[in-house]
Amino acid sequence: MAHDDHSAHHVNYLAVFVALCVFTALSVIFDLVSFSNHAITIVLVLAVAVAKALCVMMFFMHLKFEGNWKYVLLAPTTILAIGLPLALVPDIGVAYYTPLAPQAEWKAEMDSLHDSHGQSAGHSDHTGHVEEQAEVGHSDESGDGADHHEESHEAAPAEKAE
Amino acid sequence: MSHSTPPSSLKMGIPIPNSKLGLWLFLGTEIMFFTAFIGAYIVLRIGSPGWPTDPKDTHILVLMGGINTFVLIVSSYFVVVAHEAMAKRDFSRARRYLTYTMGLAFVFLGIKSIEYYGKISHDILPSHIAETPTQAINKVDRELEQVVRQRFAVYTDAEAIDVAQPDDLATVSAQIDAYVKARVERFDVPEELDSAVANEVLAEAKRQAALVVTTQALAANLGAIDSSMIADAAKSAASAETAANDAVEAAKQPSGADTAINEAIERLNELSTLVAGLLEEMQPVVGVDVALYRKWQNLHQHIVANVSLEKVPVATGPGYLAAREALSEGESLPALEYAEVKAELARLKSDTNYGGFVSAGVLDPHPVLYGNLFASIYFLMTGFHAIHVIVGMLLFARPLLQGNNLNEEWTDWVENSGLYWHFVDLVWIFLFPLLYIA
Repeated sequence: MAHDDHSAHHVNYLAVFVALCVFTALSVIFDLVSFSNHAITIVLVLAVAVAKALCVMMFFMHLKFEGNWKYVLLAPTTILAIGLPLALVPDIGVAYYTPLAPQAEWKAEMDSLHDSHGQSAGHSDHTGHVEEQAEVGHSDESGDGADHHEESHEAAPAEKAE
Repeated sequence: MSHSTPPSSLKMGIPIPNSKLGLWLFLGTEIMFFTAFIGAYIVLRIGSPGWPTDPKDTHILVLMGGINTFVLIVSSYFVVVAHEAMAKRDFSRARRYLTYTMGLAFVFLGIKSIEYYGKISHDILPSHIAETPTQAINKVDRELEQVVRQRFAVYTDAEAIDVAQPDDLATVSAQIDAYVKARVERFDVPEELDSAVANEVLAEAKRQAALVVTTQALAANLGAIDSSMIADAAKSAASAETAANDAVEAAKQPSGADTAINEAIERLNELSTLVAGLLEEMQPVVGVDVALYRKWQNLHQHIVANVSLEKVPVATGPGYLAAREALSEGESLPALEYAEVKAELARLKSDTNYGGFVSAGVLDPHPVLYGNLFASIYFLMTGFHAIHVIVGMLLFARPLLQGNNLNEEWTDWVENSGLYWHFVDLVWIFLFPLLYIA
């Protein structure tokens, strides 16, 4: 019976399908057009994704024509699903204190690498000196900085050997 | 049946088939399942400044992802058409469109596997990615060590050398050298031929036969030596051993042993010449492996000591220790630089002798900050989605297996698996912009 109900609504599925294809093309175009701010691309592309999702849910999944039970079933799960990321945001997404992830420290090393890559070969000597100075600074701090390096490097092959 | 009577206002429950209700409840749990991943990804990404987005770092193929998005949308449309046909009792049309859907699911998985293959071959896998130049240097060291070990496996398998412990790697070069330089001397004919001499000849024949066997195994693995030479040596070893055995038997008799012993010595000396020739042939091949080992050892020592490859020629031994002793307080030898390791690896890869092994076994260093977190998230989310695609294929396979017997009893099944398939499409609609474009 429920089934016959749906067939009564004549949805032009082909039109929905064409709309979905246009949306997909749009998101690819948004990716190819380089906006000054990458955030604009992300927002546009996600807006397109929401539009596509609504098309699929309303017409392909018939939610537009279903009874009110759809709210009873989907509202609690949706609220719970949104709750989890929101609960994580203050802890991980927006750290109040200085982030403790090791990558926060590694980023400086990576940035200096990218900087030295960006410069021409003639300048490479210069960056080399900067890195050397940073190294000396380190060993001044801890007294036997060089030995520290040795230990951390030796650990890796030993693990591998097992 | 509730179908025949109009639903009264007192009727409890939801006016849809139980199977459909069950599927929607399941989809409710699925929404929470995927939103947990997607939400965690968004949160982690916001909290990770420097997240990799360059396709050169992530090996993300936007075009492939876009094509897959299109493939899933088309398949979703086909499922709707199939369900509509089921409702109109046009079962052959329904079967046709279900088949198309199935085919598109295979296309999706095929494109997915191309993407996965690209990531795996670039070692973009969780916990495999170097995130800093230092880690990239260590990765080069470990991969090169693996190449050297694989080369040594040829010798250890043939029992030419012994690398029981990782520490034995230090002796490997000397062991291989010693093996190849083990010159086989000619056996001088002593004045008195007795049973002691016969036994000595037999022992020497056995030693050389063993040498032939080892060299044979080595040569087969290295693919270096003319096979006819080995065949000759093997034949000669067999005849020398037989002659030596005969000589030992003959020496037990009171007289007439001299001829047999002389014969055995002659065979033995023929074998010696052949074995010496074999080992001579081996020398250049082995030399390549020893040279590669020394290159890795030198690089490894520089990495362990963190001293410059170019400015500090050797990072071990008394000269190096003296140089370190001579440093004044707070001073250090020039540190190893990422560019030096990159250049050294390029040199090793372009070497005519062992360049092939190095290129096959060592990836070009490519540090990617947050690369491991990216790889975990990418494989977790696309992997779970791919599992859902496979489950959907199984759901469609059942009505398809009915063949011409597909009838209205399967209408609910097709509707429910269609709903499930739309959900799979829905997940991909969000995964594509989040993973491929954002």
